[in-house]
Amino acid sequence: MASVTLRRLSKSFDRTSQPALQELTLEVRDGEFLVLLGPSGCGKTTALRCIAGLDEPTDGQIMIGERDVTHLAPAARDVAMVFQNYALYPHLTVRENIAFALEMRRVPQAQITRRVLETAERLGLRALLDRRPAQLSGGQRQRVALGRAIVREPQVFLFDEPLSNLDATLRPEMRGELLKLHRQLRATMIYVTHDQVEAMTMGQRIAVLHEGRLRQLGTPAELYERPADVFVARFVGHPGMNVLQGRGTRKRERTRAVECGSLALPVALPQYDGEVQLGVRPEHVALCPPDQGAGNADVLVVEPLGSETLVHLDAGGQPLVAKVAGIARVAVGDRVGVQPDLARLHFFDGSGARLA
Amino acid sequence: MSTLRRWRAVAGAVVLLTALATLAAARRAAGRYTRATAERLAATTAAYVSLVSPALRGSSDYSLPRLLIQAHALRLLAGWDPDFEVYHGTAPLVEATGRSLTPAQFEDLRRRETVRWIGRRALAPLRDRDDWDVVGAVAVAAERGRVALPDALAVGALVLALLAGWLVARSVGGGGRAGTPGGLGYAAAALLLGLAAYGEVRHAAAAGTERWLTQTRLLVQEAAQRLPAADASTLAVGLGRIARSAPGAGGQLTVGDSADAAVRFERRGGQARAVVVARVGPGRWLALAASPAQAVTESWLALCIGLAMLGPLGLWALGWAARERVRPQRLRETLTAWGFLAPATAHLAVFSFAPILFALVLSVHHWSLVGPEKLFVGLDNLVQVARDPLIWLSLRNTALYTLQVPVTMALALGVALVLHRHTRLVWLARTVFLLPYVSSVVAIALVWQWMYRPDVGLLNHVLSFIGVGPVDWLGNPRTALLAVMLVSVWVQVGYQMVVFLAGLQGIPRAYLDAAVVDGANAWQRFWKVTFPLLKPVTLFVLVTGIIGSFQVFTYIYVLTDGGPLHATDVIVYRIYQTAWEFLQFGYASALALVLFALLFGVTWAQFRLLGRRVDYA
Amino acid sequence: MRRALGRGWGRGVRAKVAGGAVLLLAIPMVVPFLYMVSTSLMDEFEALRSPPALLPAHVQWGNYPAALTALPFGRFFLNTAIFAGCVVVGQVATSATAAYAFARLRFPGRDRLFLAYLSVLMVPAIVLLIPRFLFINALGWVDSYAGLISTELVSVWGIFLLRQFFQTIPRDLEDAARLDGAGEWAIFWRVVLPLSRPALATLAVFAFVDQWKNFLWPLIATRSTEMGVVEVGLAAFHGLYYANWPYQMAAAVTAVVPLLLVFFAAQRYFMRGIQLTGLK
Repeated sequence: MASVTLRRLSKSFDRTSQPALQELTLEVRDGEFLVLLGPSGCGKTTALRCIAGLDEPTDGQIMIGERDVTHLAPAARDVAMVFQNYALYPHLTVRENIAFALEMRRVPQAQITRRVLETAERLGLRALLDRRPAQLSGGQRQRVALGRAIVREPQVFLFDEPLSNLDATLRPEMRGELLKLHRQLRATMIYVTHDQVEAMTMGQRIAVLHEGRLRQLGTPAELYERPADVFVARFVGHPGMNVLQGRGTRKRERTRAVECGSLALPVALPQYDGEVQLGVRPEHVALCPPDQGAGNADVLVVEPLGSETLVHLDAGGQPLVAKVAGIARVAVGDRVGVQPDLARLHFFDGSGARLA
Repeated sequence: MSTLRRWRAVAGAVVLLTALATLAAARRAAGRYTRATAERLAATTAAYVSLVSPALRGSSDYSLPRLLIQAHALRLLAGWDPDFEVYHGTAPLVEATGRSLTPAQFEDLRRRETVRWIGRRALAPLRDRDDWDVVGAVAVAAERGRVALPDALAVGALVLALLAGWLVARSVGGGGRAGTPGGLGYAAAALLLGLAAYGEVRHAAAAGTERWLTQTRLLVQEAAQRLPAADASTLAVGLGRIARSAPGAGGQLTVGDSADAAVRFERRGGQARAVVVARVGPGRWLALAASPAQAVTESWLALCIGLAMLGPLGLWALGWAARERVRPQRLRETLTAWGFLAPATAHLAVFSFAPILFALVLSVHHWSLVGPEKLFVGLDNLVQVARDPLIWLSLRNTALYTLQVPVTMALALGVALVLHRHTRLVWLARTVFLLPYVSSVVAIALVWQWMYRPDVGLLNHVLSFIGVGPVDWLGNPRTALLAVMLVSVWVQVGYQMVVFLAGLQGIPRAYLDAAVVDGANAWQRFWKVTFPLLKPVTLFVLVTGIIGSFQVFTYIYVLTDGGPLHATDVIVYRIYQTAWEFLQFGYASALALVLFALLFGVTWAQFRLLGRRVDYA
Repeated sequence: MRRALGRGWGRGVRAKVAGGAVLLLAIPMVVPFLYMVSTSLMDEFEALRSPPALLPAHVQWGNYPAALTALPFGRFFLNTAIFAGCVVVGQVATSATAAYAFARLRFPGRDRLFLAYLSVLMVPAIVLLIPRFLFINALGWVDSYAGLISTELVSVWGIFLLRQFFQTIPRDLEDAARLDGAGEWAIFWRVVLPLSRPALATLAVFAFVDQWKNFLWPLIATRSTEMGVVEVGLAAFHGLYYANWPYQMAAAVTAVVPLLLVFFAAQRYFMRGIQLTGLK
């Protein structure tokens, strides 16, 4: 088992376009389950492929344990990868698929047979060993892809959105199985996804990437409670955080209130005046009768989800979403009062970085 | 940084090795000419000895004492300088104490009757007076020392190339990229080296021809004194054997005019010749001519320049690799790719790209399989093409023949349109219509010839039912081309139909349904929807059809041989006859390039005129 | 409702008429083949009768052995099989390796090199044949298998076809193999080639039929009867037995049969090959 360290990793595919990765520095601890999270095109898959050795970084360094593997061939890195579409060899049976890597490494035949059987046993694939991938269901293929990685007993597992091709109903189950596997194997795992539910439920730590840069690295709780910037704030949570453009009103060296559209929030900012971005999660926005909260807003859309309701509001020209429990008794066009939880506000400066 | 130093060391080695290899190749080539000269001198001397030595009475062998005298006399001949030896049997005559031939060597000479080498000496068989048996031998040593030192130009070019190469090699892996002044300078220096090396080869070739001419001239003059006085033309015949004896020299002896003893170069009848004049008596001169070896040294030029340019090329590749060394995976991938490409690329280089260049070279030469010399004629071949009425006729026939393409296409498209929706019929019809396309071409030509029979062929028989009189399809110049075109349509229609069917299946049904909803009738749907969407496929079929049609050969060859009265003489048939029946490869190649240019122009025009907005994706 | 019914009826009739027309057109496609077989079984003089006989009065099976031994057709078939077989193996091997490099490996100048390859397709065969003939003549390979086969071992069309196919294979499969420890050769040999069997079969079938039908190159690259191929032998036979049509047709039928067998066995690949090149 080993840690994975990325030092100032950069990758551009050609000279003209924007680089896919810009000076990414990241340490994945030995035995950690780390999730790379970001929207498509953020560079998370590129980072994974660089770690695997499938892409060669333009600059920077990759270490696995104490070994510099930046320019080693994929085979020499002792990493296994599970692909989004599983990448099972269609012309080989399940057994041959799992055994392929061992054969390539010239493992003795008896040992191959034993290890393939062990792996199949562990993943419940015994009965499927002689089928071909085309004869398997999505979930079964997923297991074979996992088996192909496990059988090699690598130092590092890489997952490239492995659950995105699965039925929605199968995903929670597979998430649980992956976590169980992680506990059993105690291997370092790096997991790429754009699905924040997967990220929050699985990751011991999450690295959020955007436009090739690392925006925040932290535990799920840290990401939720202290987003490092506006991007992370909006990206994590469902729906994402409301970000309102505000202006501080100065009173005796300290800003006493922030005005955002039709809202006026009586909060103190330590060392800032002028433009400010104010974040509040929808679940921390309460609705009340007009003129009783921090300000009034018009209801634009109501999305009743059953256990909760999303209410899209227009607060003086600024969009605002409130998540209220149960079925909210409001209608489109109503004017309601809005009361954000003042203890759970987030402040960002004009460039989007977190204040304090 | 030690890896970088290693790269640079390799680069230096490449510079040095390619330079030395170039000079070594040139030296070897020069050596070959020197040896060829020795071979020729040996053969010529043997012919001379055989001509001037009287025979033993009652035998065709030479009288040994007279032979001995001749051999010694030759040594004293003024100006005659080869290091030579005459053997009678295996015994040396000039240096009596010298080494004799081994019986095995002599036997070998007798059996093969050609010049062979023993050490540095060329051994030519000495035949008896009747030219029947080999009774001795003449050995001539290859010259030493003449080409021991490269001339000043070569040395200068070598120094220059090494210097420029060293400068480039030193900076391998640095920031510089290919095409920098340093790299170009090295390329220029290497080119100069290649040219200098070739200069040496050419010099050796010229020196060899000259030496053989001057030495043989002495022998001719000497031999002339032994013969009874006669006029020049008689002497030319009598001594002709001496001139003709040298292998590959192309020597000739004719009556000549007075001149000094210098070797001159002249062109006669398109042939380059080196000539020297021998005085064979008062007022009588003979001209001794040889084909100059330096006139056919193009392959050495290519070799020398090619070897020399390997240096810059290698350095360019090394420079690239050294720059890429920071990304070893990319380097590995490139090397792997070239490994995978090597077989196909090597083959294409030898059997496709080189032939294209060679075709260009051929097209400006008179080139036949016989005759060593390939005469440069510039654009004469093309002028001849333009003047040849048969060519114009064949071009006209080819153009007419190509008219079968649109006919076939219309038929094929029609059938495809009908079949397109009949899933059950499609399979059967595709099979049936493709039969001619997959069959043996000659067999098809034969059965059509059988059916085209003028008297009672099947076709005429069928036509007689509708009152069309018997037609001599292939024998009548007015119908012959049409008959061949019909066969072509019959063969091609199935292939084109399958392509059209594939194209039709690629048109989403939704478009046609939309057109139905819009109220278009079948005719409108075809012209407004199907046909425009099918345009790329139509263009493909048209272009490939015309390209194939321009190159028709086998049907013509089997059905009509280009006849009757050249009515079916097409361009490729003309090229075939020119090359393989008249053996005029240069002219044929010029003709083939004309075809290439025509096809290129036609294809280009089609894409320009029809290819616009072909892509709806 | 009535209108829809009427249209449907009209459509059905029109389709039937068109289908009938196609069937009518199909008759001339097969008649020459049937006539070829029929003539090959006729008596020599029966074939020349007027009006022409359509079927042999007495089937002359003896025409076949007689025609096929008049010239050494066995030898021709053997030569053709060796020629076409070697070319098939060579073209499949060289096309697959080159196509793999073009489809899957990254190296500088790849696309320019591929264009250079494709440019060979533009050059008419006859332009290449003259220098190629002079090459093999200079090497002393005229009238030998080496001369006959060597020039045909690479097919740019094949490289193009396989490259198109390789590009449809998911890249992830290769990446997976790479992580599994396979080198480029193992990826090519154990992953890409097994997945490309249909494309390889298509190329093989086309290469085989093309070479079997090849006439001009064997005509100029071989001289002796021992080195003759079927097509050239058949043309020579035509010259020798000009008047004996049953013999000629018997030889022609024999020349066609192997091709048709290949065609029927591999029809799928034929269609695919024609469609692939027509649409790309």
